[in-house]
Parts: sequence; structure tokens; C-alpha cells
Amino acid sequence: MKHQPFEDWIFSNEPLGEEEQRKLDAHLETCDSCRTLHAADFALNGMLAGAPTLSPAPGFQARFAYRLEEQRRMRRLVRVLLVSGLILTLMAVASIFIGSVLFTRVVPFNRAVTGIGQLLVQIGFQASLSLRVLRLVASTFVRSLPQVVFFAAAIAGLGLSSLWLFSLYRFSSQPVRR
Amino acid sequence: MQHRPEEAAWIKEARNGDDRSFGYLVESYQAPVYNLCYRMLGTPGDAEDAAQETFLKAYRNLKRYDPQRSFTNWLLSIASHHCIDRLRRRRIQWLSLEGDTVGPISEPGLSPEGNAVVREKQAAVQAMLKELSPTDRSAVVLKYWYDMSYEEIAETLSLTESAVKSRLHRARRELAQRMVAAEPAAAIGGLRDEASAI
Repeated sequence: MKHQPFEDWIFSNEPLGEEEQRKLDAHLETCDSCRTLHAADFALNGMLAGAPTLSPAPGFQARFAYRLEEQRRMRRLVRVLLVSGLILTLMAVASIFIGSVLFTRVVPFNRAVTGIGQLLVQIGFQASLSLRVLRLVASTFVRSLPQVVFFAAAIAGLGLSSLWLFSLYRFSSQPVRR
Repeated sequence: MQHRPEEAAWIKEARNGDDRSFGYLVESYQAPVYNLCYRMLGTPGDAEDAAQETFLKAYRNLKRYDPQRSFTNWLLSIASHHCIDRLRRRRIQWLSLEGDTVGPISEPGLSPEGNAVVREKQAAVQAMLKELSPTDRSAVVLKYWYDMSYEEIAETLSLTESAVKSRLHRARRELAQRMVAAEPAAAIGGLRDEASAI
């Protein structure tokens, strides 16, 4: 059986004319498929029209005000960071420029490079010396501790790691509740 | 579009930077905006987040609001576009019929059994809506919950009026066909009787 134009009429957004309505009614009397479709459309309209308008949980406006304030705070922070970054960059560029101009006037360029190289080597040497001293102090301290301290530290570390893994599991497996 | 006098004043003051007036607007329009977001996204958490974002966008763009236009429609337009973008971007897993998905729907005067029936019906409504494309879903929600004209829906969704009509026609046909495929004819007859009793 031909279902056109009846299917179009069933779902028409505009009211049908008298003649169209009469033809559709006559078709629905004889066609099970179109009748079921018509009934489904009618039921759907009823369900959609009867569905309530939902409201958010109480305190929506307060949550909005908080969110707005957070957003403003973030914007202020970003602005401060951008301005500070810009100022620091400008200062660094200016310092390098002024420094290089002044330095090359006082000391010839090749001597300046050698001097900076020597300075860096000195800094490296001093740092490695400090590291050696620190290691010596640390090893002396560790040797003086009783064995039970190491045992307790290992257990505490194990416990903390387990807690951390458990909380990771909780966060990844459970939905976030608002 | 005529605004209520106090509402027009709130809009004007909010445009001049008065947060308290915007707060009154949020209080007045939270339910329609939230409902649209819920019908579009299907979960209370997503609906809350989308509704909050809608008001933030409205706050930022308040200077661009044309007072000749309905404020509700302007807000719903922001909410619709936000939800459509969200659905397209995230392709979220939209609905599960248990858990908190239909959590907030309850009628104060009803027994627990009555509320269970209401929840079941709402879950069915949401399940039907999720079958539609985001834009079709939005058109259906604006038509059935907000009783908007085709012209208003077209303006809200930035579509032509004929596109809205065609989308609504297609959406209704699709929903009815899915319902027929899912339910036996006798069950649909029963639903039809229930619907006509509403």
C-alpha cells in the first residue's frame, strides 16, 4: 500500500486542510502501519508535552557567583603573569645590552670571553667540591643511625605508596559528584 | 518583546556592571536554562555545568544583547549553541537509565511508587531525545518545553524557518518510527490513551 502523502500529513507541522484530514482519516481506517505511526506520534507528543521543566539544585546562583569570581581571579592572575613576564624579559634584554656595551668598553672582547670561561670553570669546581663535602657528611650521619630507623622508614614509604595508589584507583574508578 | 519592568532594570544595571542585578537575572532564568541543558545533555552534572557556562557567556556578552529581543530567547540561544557544541565536541556517552541521570525528577506530592513511574517516563523521554542529532534535539526541546514559534526557534538556533520545520518533521517521524520499532502496536495504543489523558 502507498503511504505517501499520508506519512507526511501525520507529521505535518501545520494543521491539515479539511479535505486532507478526511483523506488521512479514511487511510488510517484501513492502514495498520500508518495507524500505528499516527498513534506513536500522538503518544510522543503527549509524553513530551507532559514532561516537567526541571530546576537546578538549590544554591545555583551562589555557585555561579563563585564561578564568576574564580574566573575573574584567574584572569587577573594571567594578566599579572603576562605583565611580569613582559617586564622581566624587557629588563633582561636591557641588562644584557647595557652589560655587553659597558663590559666590552672596559675589557677587550677576547679577554672577556676567556674571563667568563674561567669563571664558569671555577663555579663548577666549587660546586663539585661542595657536593663531595655534603656526601661525606650524609654518609657519616647515616652510618651513625640504628638499623631500626631504616626498617621504619621502609614501612612508612610502603604505606604511603599504598595510600597513594589506592587514592589514584578511587579517583579513576569513581565518577565525580557535583 | 516586552520585559517585566524590574527585569528591564536589572538588564540595564547589569550592562553597567552591576553584579547584583545580574544575580537577579540568574535567579529568574536558572530553571529554563537548566532544563534546556538537561534535556540536551541528559545528566544533572553536565546540565549544571552547561547552565553555569551559559550565564558566564551571557555575562561576558551582555553589552551585545539587543533589548528589543526577548532576554529568555537570547539566553536559550546561548544555551542551545553551547550544548550543541558540547555534544559535537565531546560525543559524550549521553544517557544511562539508572543512577543519577534522572535523579532530580520527583513530584513532591507523589508516593515513592508514583515517583518511580514519573522517573521511568522521564527516562523514556530522555532516551527518545538522545536518538536525535544535537540540532534536531534542540529544536524539539524549544518547541515542546518552551512553546516557541518556528520563527523564534529559527532565530534561537540560527536556522531558517523552513529548516526548522523540516528538522521538526524529520525528528517527529524518526522518534515515532523508533517507538514503533521498540514497542508493540498495542503498547503504543496504551501510551496514546495515557497521553490523551494528560
